[in-house]
Amino acid sequence: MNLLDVKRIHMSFAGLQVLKDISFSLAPDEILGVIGPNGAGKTTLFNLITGFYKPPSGTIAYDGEDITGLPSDKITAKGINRTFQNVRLFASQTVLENVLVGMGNKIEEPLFQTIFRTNKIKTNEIKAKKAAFEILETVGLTDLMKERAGNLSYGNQRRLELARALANEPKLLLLDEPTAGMNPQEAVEIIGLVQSIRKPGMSILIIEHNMRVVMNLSERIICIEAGSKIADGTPYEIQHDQAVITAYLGESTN
Amino acid sequence: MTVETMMNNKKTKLIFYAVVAVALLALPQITGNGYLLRIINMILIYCIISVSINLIGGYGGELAMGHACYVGVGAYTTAILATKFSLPFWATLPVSLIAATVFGFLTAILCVGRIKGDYVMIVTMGVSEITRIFFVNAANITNGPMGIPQVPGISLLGFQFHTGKSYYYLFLICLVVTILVIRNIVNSKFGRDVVAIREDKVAAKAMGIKVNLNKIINFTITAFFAGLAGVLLAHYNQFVGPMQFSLDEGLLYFQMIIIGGLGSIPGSILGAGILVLIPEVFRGIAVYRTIVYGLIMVVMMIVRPQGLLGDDDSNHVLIRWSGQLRNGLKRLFMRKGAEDESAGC
Ligand SMILES: Nc1ncnc2c1ncn2[C@@H]1O[C@H](COP(=O)(O)OP(=O)(O)O)[C@@H](O)[C@H]1O
Ligand SMILES: [Mg+2]
Repeated sequence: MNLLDVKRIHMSFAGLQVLKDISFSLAPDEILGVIGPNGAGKTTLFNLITGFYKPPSGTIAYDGEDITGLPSDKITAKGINRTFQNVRLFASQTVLENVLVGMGNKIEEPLFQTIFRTNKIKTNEIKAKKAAFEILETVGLTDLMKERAGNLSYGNQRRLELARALANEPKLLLLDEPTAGMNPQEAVEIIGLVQSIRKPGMSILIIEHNMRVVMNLSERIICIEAGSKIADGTPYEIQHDQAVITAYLGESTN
Repeated sequence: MTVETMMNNKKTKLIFYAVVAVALLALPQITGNGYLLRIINMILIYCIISVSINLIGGYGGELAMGHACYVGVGAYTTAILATKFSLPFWATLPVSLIAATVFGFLTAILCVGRIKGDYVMIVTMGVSEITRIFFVNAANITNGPMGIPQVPGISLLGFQFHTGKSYYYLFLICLVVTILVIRNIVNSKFGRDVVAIREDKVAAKAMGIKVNLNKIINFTITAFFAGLAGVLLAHYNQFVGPMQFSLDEGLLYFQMIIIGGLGSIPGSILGAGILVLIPEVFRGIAVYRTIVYGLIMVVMMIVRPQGLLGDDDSNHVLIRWSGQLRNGLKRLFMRKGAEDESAGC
């Protein structure tokens, strides 16, 4: 069974059609690359999957369950988490706090007990902080644990966003251009990081502009152009797809 | 050794708290029962308000400017029940708290449920003003503009509070409880979510936070403590009147947390202390109060926008507030053009 099944979704903003009849699926443990020129609708696709927008038609099924139009908090609770194309951290909170917030429902703290700070709350807090620390270890940010997120370098902010998205142990991780705005060296590092966090039980959907990177990383790639899916296949197939070549050559001559 | 590392030392911390505790317990012995203690008691009541309102205004970054009405509902409920129905304090207290809390809960639903975005300031101020007008006009229950005189003093478990000293200890206990509860909330998942929503609502949603629910709970908690302050105020002053719960009063709470420091509990206490003291110290210029406060606000914004004890990052809150203010006014006067906050993620 597929982890994610997107069927014939459409999306438009104020009459402007942004996504047309997009269908694709994602197998468990698979890394699927999403490529396409700027403005093609890739981020919008992520916003639909994560419940920020409701598609006017089409369905999104996750783990065999229809999640179309569910609010984002419910979708996240089911094990889907994401990063943003433009980093969106909780700037005034510390690095550790950002990860703690990302843990979401993994931290169980009923409000009534919170008010009295019962022993259960105290032990849960310690447990949560330990778990958050371990996640920070995987992205190499433990030294900066108490630093405010807003004070981190751009590269580290990207790492933290990744850590925060991993914090609730997602089964489906959506990465929106994780290397955007990075120099080649930083980009290599972050892609290495994405490879290292890969583990059984987690599928990754990654939007990435750098062709070489996405070819190396993904098992399969879909290409979206002007809201339509124009190709779907292995990196080799995509590289030799006439429509993809035209789309990209067309973009670079603009 | 810096002050901070000293404060991180457990032993120093304990000694510090012990000294503060002794000083607070001994304070009324020094001041006596007179005018000075009366001011201190008023500061304690205002601290309950400012510490709790920081949860929604400072930590939450919401311009909830109408909290005077929850103080008012608490005060009026207990006053009416105690004078018209002669109910004892142990009965009027819970009813008044429930009334203020439920009223806060309903306002919160109005703010986040039916109306989206930056209406919080407008809705809360509107609700506050409507409540005040109700206090003025529902004369057969509230006694109208004259207010309710001769509210009895607090009597609890056979003990009759009447001296300033006895009230002092009662208010101190209430304040300590408020501080502990707010501190516990702030240092928890719920409190982290409050700040996360303030920092980035879209990202907070993506982390699975139920943004509206969090705001409603936050608002309700602060209304509860506002109600508590109202109950104490009514019995301590032995009088309740509509003038006490005007829009100015709600603004005053915000001035307290701005001066003291947004998102800081010690800051809220300091802010309440300063703003209760100023009109007492400068009795002669009491009429210029609004001007003086306005000037203080302007100077603070320029010199120390994070407040006296706030951390550097409460600048963010001020910037966010100004955005809310702008959007709110836009909606009010132009009926469109306010930015959609979910766009562009
Ligand atoms: N909230 C929105 N309101 C209006 N138009 C939008 C919105 N989000 C995206 N768009 C438009 O949809 C198109 C696709 O955008 P996007 O999904 O961000 O593209 P990509 O991520 O592939 O660069 C763009 O033309 C963009 O302007
Ligand atoms: Mg994009």
